Amino acid sequence: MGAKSKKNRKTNWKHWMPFYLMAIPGFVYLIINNYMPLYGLQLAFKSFSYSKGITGSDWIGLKNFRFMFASSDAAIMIRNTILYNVIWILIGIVLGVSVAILFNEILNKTAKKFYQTAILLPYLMSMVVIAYLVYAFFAADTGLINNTIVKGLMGKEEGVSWYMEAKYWPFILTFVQQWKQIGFGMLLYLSSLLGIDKSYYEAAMLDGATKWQQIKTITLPLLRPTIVMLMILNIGQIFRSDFGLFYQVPMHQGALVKATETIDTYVYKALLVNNNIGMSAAASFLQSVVGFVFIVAANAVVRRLDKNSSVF
Amino acid sequence: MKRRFVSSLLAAAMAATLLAGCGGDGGSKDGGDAPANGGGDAQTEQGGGDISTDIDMEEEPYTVAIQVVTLPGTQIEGEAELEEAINAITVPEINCKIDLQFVWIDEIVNTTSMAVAGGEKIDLVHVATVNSLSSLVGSDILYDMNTDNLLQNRGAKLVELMGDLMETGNVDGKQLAVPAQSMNANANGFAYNKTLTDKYNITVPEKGTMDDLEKLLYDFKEATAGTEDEKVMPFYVGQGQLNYLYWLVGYEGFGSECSYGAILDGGTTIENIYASEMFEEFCLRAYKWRQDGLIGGDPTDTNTAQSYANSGQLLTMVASINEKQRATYGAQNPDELGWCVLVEPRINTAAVTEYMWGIASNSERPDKAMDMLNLIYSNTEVANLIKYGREGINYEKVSDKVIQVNGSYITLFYCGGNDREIYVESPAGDDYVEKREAMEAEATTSQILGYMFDDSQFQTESSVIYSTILEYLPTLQNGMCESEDATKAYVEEFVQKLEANGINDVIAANQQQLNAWLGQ
Repeated sequence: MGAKSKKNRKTNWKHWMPFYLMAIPGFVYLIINNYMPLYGLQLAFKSFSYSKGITGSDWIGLKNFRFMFASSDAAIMIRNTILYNVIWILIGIVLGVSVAILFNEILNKTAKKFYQTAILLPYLMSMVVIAYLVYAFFAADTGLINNTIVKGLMGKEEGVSWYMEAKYWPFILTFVQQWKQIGFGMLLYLSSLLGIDKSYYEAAMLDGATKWQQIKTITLPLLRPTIVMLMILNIGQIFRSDFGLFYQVPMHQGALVKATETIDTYVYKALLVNNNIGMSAAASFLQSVVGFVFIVAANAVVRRLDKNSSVF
Repeated sequence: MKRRFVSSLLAAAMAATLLAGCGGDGGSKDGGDAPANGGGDAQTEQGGGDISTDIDMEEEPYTVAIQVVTLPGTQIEGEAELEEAINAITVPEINCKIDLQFVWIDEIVNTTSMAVAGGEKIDLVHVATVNSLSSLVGSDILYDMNTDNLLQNRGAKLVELMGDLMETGNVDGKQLAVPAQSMNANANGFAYNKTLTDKYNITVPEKGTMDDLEKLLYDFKEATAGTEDEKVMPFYVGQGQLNYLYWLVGYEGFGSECSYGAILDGGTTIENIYASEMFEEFCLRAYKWRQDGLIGGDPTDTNTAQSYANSGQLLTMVASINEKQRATYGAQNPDELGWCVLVEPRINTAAVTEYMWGIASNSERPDKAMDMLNLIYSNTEVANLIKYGREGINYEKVSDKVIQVNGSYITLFYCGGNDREIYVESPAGDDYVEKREAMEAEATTSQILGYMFDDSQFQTESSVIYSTILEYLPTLQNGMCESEDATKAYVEEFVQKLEANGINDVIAANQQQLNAWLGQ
């Protein structure tokens, strides 16, 4: 019995060895890129000195974290970061799943390719380009919206100063974010949709199920693991924001900060002046820790509701 | 359970490693710890204490890397040949070679900090314009030139040329930078398109006040109504992140856009400029100008006033006024420029610290860096080669001191060499130095020349205060509020937010340091 087990282990080792060897470059990359920088975590708790280096710099406890909450707008930026993320995660799921289902119904190959390219194109565009596209629509003097809709249709000759009024920007940013991201989100859901066995739908059709009933009882339940996994991963990013979207698209206008200030833009602007590596490390550390807590908490909730859908 | 625990630990590690891109690589070439004293070699050779005044000509020539700051997009050709030409002088003189590091102005801050943090080769640092001394004081990027009496023993020409101005680079006993120019007098005011004002018979005084500027703007607006020049903007603020009051009424500011306060009356009392009546009046004036169509553009416009002025689309722009500026602006603008002085010539810390040199704290040989800097200020040929390139290739001589550049080598933000000796660009004339010296003699010297606020204890406050200024200043200077009352309310909100973010504490500390400095 013992000899057989030993032989099995030997065979297993021989079987798996090539796979482990193949994994070595990946592991090396992972260690260099993701684990070696952990050394820099201490920066968040130090007064970094360029002449003393990382190890030699003085420990200062949590002082670097203070600047995150020193601004009178700290509550606004944290609120913005979290609320935008929560809303966009929800809208992203609804739109992504809806568009993927609609897309899956297209039978014409040419039309499918056209729509796929059209919907994915914004995702591939740089945020700087998008910022100028948005500007082309919303510029006070030359913008399309002011010159056609506001002045032309609404007769409001003075136009709207889009870049001076914060109240419009939650909607503009939401639209731009969804327009840019929907293609990628849709692709993820579509890949899951394509993996659903067609026989389920055939059986449902034979039983007289309508399209809506098929979606409700077959597609959505089978998509649930993908939806949950993406949601948990997105929740891990809830304390982060797309810097380009919040900084470039509103053309970093001070008048809009109530709607556009997030943790990332705050850190960037604040550190423009003193280039303090310790503070930026503290900000990023805090974002990582909060992201981790959210991921674990979200996963715990999912595990309690449906063990099979949890990520870990 | 065990598996879940391991998964959680892994997830924690992965989440934390997202720090990877946030500057975690803050160490130096030796794996994270920069040398505590970059000048260790030189010091050891001398057996500690003062560094020798003699240059060791027997050792291998050391290559000094020097930052040469250019306009974004500038590409320099013939760099190796230029370095060879410079080395032909520097090696026999100081046993050093040169490595010209051309850096675009918009990248200078990151390039410098990342080079120092990463232990990359860098010796002489451009401490000027956007990479100012005030923003570098707390970051420990600069080497203290008083170490082992380096400046005194190896920078004799610099000490002789700069004299008392050296004090401006001394922060808390540490000589972190040295001025790049020995003549620093500046008047402030505005430049205007004289071709246009002559065309419409508008007279502008050589010296005036903000009321004269306002009169010019209204006169021009009225004169050009219905003409081909109707679309020329009388005034332009654009992104508005610089405080225009500096040029229009003058003050002695501290920090970025007075984030550490300002002296408004020429005395020694520091106050919050944004809480002053002067600032509110300026904002109301800007609002009026906007309503009357005198200010063009808005904060989303990324074009500079200079680019609009050079293309004939702008009448006036605020400016520092001295011979150097007149020559530089004059060379760029196809129309004739006029100048109106609103703030009499003065020499203050802001003017002197506008262009400075520092030695990087990770420099392997600060002594050699100092030798090179000293040579640039004592050998005009070296200074001219770095600033203007090679004769016949990059420029032609117009006279003994005046050259005509051909645009193949532009180092707009580089400032080095004895400004009484090096070439000047046409249209400046041979009397350039005399004119600058005359302004120097006429200028009032600030009684706090040389004082620099040590902000190392106020890193948090300085960040949020400057951020707040960037939030409100563009809107107010552009006159973009809905009404006069809205402007006043916005100024009030601005001041309240600055105070909530600690500006009064910073000003109090600044005042305390200034009083101590004055008492010395």
